[in-house]
Amino acid sequence: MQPKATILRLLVLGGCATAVTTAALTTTAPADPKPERSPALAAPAPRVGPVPGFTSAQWRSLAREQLEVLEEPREAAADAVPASIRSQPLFADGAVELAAAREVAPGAERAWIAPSADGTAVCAFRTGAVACPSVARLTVTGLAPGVNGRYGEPFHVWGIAGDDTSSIVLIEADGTRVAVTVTDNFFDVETDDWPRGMTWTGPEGAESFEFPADGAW
Amino acid sequence: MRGTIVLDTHDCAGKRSLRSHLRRAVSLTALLTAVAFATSSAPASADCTTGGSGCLPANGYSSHDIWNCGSIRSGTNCPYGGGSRIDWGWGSASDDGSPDAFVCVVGTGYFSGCSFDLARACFAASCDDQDALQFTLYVNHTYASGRTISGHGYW
Repeated sequence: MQPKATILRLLVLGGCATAVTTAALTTTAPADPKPERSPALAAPAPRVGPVPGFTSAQWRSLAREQLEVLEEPREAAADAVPASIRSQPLFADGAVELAAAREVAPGAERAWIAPSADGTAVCAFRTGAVACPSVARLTVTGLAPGVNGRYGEPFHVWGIAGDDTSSIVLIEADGTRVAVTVTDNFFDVETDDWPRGMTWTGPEGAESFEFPADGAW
Repeated sequence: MRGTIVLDTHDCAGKRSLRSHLRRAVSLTALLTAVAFATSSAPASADCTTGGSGCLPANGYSSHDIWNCGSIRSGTNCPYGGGSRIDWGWGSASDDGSPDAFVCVVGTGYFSGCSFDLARACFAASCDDQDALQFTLYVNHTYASGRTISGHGYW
């Protein structure tokens, strides 16, 4: 297959002005039908590309639109990230806007959601773990899965789910399907073995994701 | 396949409008997506030294390196230092390419963290008390074609 380029221009007539959407696609020839280690995604999620020209404020606005937890007023005391977390080196470069964090999982496994410093991503974090998917991905697919594991502990399948996302299911290693509960746009499910995948219903309909095998250890 | 989406929002940049345009654009991209694989690869190489310009703060750490894995295939592990064993620290994997990729950082046998775009993880909560451990730190990604992934470690 020869490389080819396709340019689509979609004129969207909105209520106030004309918006022009351009998707530029370049397809390269498949050189190897199989990845070296990880299985190919059974059902690739929609690809999310950059949106040049978006300002940080626009990304933040879009994030708030997708995530009710960021739209609600921040409670300074209840949402504050304790010093024991703030001082961890994972946050030392300021990539996560801790001052805008909302606590989403109180209790022993405390967790927070906060915008990234540049506003283009939203981060879920807790002690010793950070995951920052792009706002664009959350907008399009409605959910950003992540996994975190430590020796001697179960895996945490965790992440951020948008307001319009529903029917979230974790597919465990043995194929068992587990319904996932979302609280304040956050989910966290413990599982003993490296998970197989997730399915959910996002803004555009049915979505799925298969976790790469190499992420286990 | 690589896709880019450009939105010209003119003066109609309300929340609902932005969301609608983004969704519509990406839906079209998804419909036209064809899975492709690339074969290029490059060894990891450190490009940041302790305390150097552009390095992240490294309080309490004796070394700090960022290694650029170049364009690697999906599922290919890109280790720091060619697989040298290190004894303490934390790791980060990031991808700023387009479209976004699912990235993982792994401290072999002790910890792993995976997410779209950026993942950071360590073994112990403080990330700096792992001096009894010995592990290899590597990053990888899951994306249909080769992607450039950066790893980042403190130890």
